[in-house]
Amino acid sequence: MSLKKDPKILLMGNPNVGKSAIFSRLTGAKVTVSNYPGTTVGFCQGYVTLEKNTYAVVIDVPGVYSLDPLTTTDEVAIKMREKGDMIINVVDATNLERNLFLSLELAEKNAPMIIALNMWDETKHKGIEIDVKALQKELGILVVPVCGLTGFGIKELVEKLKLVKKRTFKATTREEKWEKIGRVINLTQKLHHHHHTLLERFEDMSTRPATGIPIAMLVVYLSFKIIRGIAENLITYVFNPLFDKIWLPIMEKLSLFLGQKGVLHNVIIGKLVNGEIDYEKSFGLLTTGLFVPIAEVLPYILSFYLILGILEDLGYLPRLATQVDNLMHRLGLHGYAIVPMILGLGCNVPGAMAIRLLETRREKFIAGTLMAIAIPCMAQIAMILGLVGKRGGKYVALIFGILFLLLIVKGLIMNKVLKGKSPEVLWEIPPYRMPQPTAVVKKLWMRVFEFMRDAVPYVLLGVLIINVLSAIHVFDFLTGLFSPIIHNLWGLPDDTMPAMLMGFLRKDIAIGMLAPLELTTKQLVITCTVLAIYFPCMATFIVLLRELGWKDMLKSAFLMILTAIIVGTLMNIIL
Amino acid sequence: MVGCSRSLSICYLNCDNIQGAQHAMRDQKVLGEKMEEISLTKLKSKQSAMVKTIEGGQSVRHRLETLGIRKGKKITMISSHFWRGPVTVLAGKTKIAIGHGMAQKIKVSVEE
Repeated sequence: MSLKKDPKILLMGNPNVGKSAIFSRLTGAKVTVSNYPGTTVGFCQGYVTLEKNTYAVVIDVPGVYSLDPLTTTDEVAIKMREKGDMIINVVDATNLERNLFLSLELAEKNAPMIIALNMWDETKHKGIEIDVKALQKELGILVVPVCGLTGFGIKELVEKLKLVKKRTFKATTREEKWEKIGRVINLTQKLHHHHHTLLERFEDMSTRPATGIPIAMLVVYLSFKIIRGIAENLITYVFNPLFDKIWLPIMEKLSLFLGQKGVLHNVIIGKLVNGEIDYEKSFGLLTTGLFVPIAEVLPYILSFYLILGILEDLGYLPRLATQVDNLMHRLGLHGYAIVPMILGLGCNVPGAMAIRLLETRREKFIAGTLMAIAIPCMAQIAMILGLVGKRGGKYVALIFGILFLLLIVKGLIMNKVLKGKSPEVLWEIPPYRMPQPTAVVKKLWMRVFEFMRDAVPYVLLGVLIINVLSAIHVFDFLTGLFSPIIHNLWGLPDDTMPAMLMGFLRKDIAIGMLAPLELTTKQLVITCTVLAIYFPCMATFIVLLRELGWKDMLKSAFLMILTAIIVGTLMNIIL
Repeated sequence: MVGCSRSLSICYLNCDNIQGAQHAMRDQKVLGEKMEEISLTKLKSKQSAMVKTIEGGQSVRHRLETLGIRKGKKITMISSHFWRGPVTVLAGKTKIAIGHGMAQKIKVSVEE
């Protein structure tokens, strides 16, 4: 298959019409599908087999409401349209009228085009009746009813791709388009009365502030309860036994084989504590290096993304965004900024990518800075729960309390200081949809796989670097350099220096390095808080740099370090 | 005035005699005069109204248009948030959250 000759097919449509679901059905590629507008930032591409040995490149374009540059914040989509050989216009059958505007705009660009009428299954219980043949005739474009979630109609869509021909449409004004849409809708769509389903009733309840705000609090509270419950059970009943019963004997034999000491032994197994391997303190590649990401962090990643996936597919996030819009405006953001923040709780990297959803440079800067300072990722949370939790729940609460306070205070300050104001919200609230178990599991698997692929090598690299650096006494030099801050301002022992350094690479292993240090509770709390604030991990930094640009990233980094110094010092004085 | 004419014809159908119909017409006329444009934010929950004008820049108008909020369209208030928070409305089959400032610029007239 040659890359150049394959035709390019663009999947285009309004936000949240299910382009990504159709994309993954067409190509078999794994992409994130959720029930809220803006799931796809950037674009994905994959291949679809048209006939035996004939392929086409399929590109999943971010959703737009219109091709008009005035209305569209996403220039990527507009630029990409010009490069396609064919367009599959994904249309939400339950919102036909509104969706057809983009369809007409696309048609007038005169590229070969076919309409995939998605969410076909939903029209029935919504009391919508669409005459597909009439619609096809009125528009002069092939229309295929499909359902991306179940796969219905996808085969027919692929077959019809071969029949799509180039047509020329007359250019019309906006008003003429709306007039035409009105005519087409009258001829092809009938609305029937339908009874409110239970989900729809819940929809109204979670939208009104009187009931919506308590529901939002309950949802957030229960989510964290469930996440912790699942994770702790996974640790106790699955991952700890795995490491203690199966992995430990292997490591013990290896340790004996390596002679229980020496440089190689210390790098691979780590130092023995009282003659035994200690997963938390030994700090070898195959002991702590695997135990931290797999036994301590992975269970939390698993349960967090399970719950997040369910909430996403249900369509709860846009409602939560509406409930917190008031608060977020005071922080210089608007409600939708809650989406990158929540994604950031899982991992700051996808969180930082989702900052692209926000419209203005000011908003991006505020959101990026707040996330880096005050939103700990799940790896960090898991380690704090594990390490600080042993000293008592109130210390864990103290750390998260301080971070939350920082989120509010920093937001308030930035909103006051930075010129401009947060833009008005305008977004669609999708209907609730029952999460499909297979879809939820598929997404969970994708995210866990990404975590394993990205995190484990980083952690191992970190462990290796620390071992090498401490062997050649580099830390002694750096410790002397940063001792004024670490020792004098924060009141921490100098041996927290390697952990601080490691925090630039990964937070989980950095916190893991505190385990053998025998810090006082106060020192532990300060170190964990400072580690969360002072800088994002390397991967997040790279993404933020791309989203914010050098200038804003420098400013943001300066704010982070300044905040860390001030907060750490204050904690040292007050606690 | 699409809304008016439609409710008028319904009146005709419901009235048994011409007098009743005339009453209905008169009422409708009075109502028609009373119908003034108010801000979307003034709507009560579950109240429906017809979009009359959208003040503000072309960009805002076009964005609202593509979400189904344009002149002559019926929208129904779902809820508004305190402290000048966003309002949520139903336009067609779509629920939309609109910032308070933007919602103030959308003028609607209530149909009885």
